[in-house]
Amino acid sequence: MRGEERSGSEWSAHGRSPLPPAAAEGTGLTAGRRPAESRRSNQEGPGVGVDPITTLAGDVLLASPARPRLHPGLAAGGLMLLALVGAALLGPALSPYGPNAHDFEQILQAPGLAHPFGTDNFGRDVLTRVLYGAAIDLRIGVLAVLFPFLFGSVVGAAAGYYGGWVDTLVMRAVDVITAVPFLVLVIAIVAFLGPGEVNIFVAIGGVGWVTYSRLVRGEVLREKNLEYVAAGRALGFRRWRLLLGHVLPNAVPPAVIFLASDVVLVILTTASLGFLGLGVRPPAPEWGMMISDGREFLSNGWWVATMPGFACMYTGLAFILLGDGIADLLRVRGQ
Amino acid sequence: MPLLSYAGRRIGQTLPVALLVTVLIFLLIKLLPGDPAAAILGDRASDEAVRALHRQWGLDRPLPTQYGIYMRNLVTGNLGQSLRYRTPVTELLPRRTAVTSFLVVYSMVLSILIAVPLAIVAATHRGRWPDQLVRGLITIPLASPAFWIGILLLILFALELRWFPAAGYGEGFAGHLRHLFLPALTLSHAFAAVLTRNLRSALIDVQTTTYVDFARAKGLDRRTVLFRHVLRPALLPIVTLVGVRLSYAIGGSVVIETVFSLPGLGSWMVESILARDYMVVQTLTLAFALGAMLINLLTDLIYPLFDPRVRMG
Repeated sequence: MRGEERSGSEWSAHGRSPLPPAAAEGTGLTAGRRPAESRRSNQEGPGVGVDPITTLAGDVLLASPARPRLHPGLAAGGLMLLALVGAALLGPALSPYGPNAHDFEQILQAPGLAHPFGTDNFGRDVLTRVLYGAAIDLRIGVLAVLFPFLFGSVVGAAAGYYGGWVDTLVMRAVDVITAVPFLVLVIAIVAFLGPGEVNIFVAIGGVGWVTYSRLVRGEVLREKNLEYVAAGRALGFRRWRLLLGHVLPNAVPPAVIFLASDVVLVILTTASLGFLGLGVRPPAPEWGMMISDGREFLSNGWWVATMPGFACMYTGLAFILLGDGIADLLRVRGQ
Repeated sequence: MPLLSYAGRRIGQTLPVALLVTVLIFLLIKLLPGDPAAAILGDRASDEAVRALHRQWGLDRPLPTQYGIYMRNLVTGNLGQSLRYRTPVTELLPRRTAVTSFLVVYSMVLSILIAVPLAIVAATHRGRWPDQLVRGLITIPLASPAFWIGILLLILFALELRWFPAAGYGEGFAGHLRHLFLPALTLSHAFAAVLTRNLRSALIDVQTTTYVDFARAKGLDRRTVLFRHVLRPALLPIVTLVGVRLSYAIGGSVVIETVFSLPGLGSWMVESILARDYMVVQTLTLAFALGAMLINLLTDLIYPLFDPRVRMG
């Protein structure tokens, strides 16, 4: 239990990075800065020199992560994702139905040949709506993590590198935002801003950057004591050049690893917002909203609520496998 | 005494953050496009009413004064009126908090009950098929939306099999246990998955330590070694993980309470949002935040009681 040998103060809101369940830790993707959440690899022991992080794909699918062959988890996740993107892009063209095409003679039909996912209470084909919804959730998932990743990494790097009041300011902000449960804060922000896709971006962006900040700051704190930084200063490099050109690229891998599972979290959060009626505006076929709409028909039309959920789960699995694969790859290269 | 000074330090670290949290949440209402008083009172409110609300909240005064009024109200227990129920918030708060607390604690307990056996099985059969199965099982809850799993459980166990009620809080402790089983199970799935994973890892780590080798060399059988020497240190991180995960459990309860129609804080928040009862939304956000911080603090304070190494730090 070496990972747990930390003083209790590490667990405070200051030192700890509470990650969302569906995110990094949920798949074993943790950075070295959060020792309590990381696990030691049980394969080659602690002597490898890297912070061994065990992942589902790494241990289950791969006999030895050091062997340089195509990582099965990465391949599987990549393929799943490719299929999903393909479905999202091509599905609408292939489907004979429109996503909002009411057909009152086909209300609440069970899944069958004509409608593989059944129809909802307006006679709309559920499969088509799920495919259109894939585009929505994928788009939001990928776009909504970009700002937190970029902003959080830069801010965290600056905080770690320059220290002083910059560090204090940033970490205070991080502490305050972290103090409020993630979903509660996002819901509150969307509540006041109003529903709609843009506001989802604002809410998630405004709250989600803090984890990246913590991650990158931790890495930068570690990096800036390494010799190449001192050498660079001795050579006369300006501090910000060192930061952007040399330290930041080395500090970023844990943030990249977290990115993959953050996408999962954002998709789930978007679905939750949609479920509560706070998300994308109707009649857009967002998965969460579809599940919410389907709640009225659980006894006579269970497919309306359950099919979009399977799509969600599929997407989540794809990104988790992808993220595990990336994590394993980055680990093998000695990061 | 190191323990007291540690406690003092932790509390001292938490208070400023708590204060800043009130500022953050106070500022939330400024996100409202347009006039907050008009937004709250609705389209049909008279100008008189809007002006009165302006005066009451000091909306015509500078921002810091408004914050002062807000804090004064908070501290004196004037949490406002719920527009929907037409009762003071302070009257509705206890019962709602009780429901949510029951749900969250119940789900934590269920998580532990699920995770510990799974982790033991996985750790003791490391590398073989039970381990692979458990690790595969873990990923599924993490990829799925909690409310969807709740709906699946609802369909299967409440509607089809009729083992559990589909909604409501129930009467009496046994009633609560029965009514809240499915919601708590739903809420627990993410934490159970993470806990299983971490426990499994911790158990494996402990198994390779020298003192366990010594216990085996002494001739103790596997079961004794497992329960008396391996399990106890491996279970320690549960305390910390509970503190970390609680934040997400609280967030998740908002959605789960809606799925199962539970009269808790989370569903109240959603109702208030949809009813544009913004003051209540603000107050509830604050309640969630302060509650989460309090539990984190308590977890931090409890942990040294279990792990003496921490007290010296």
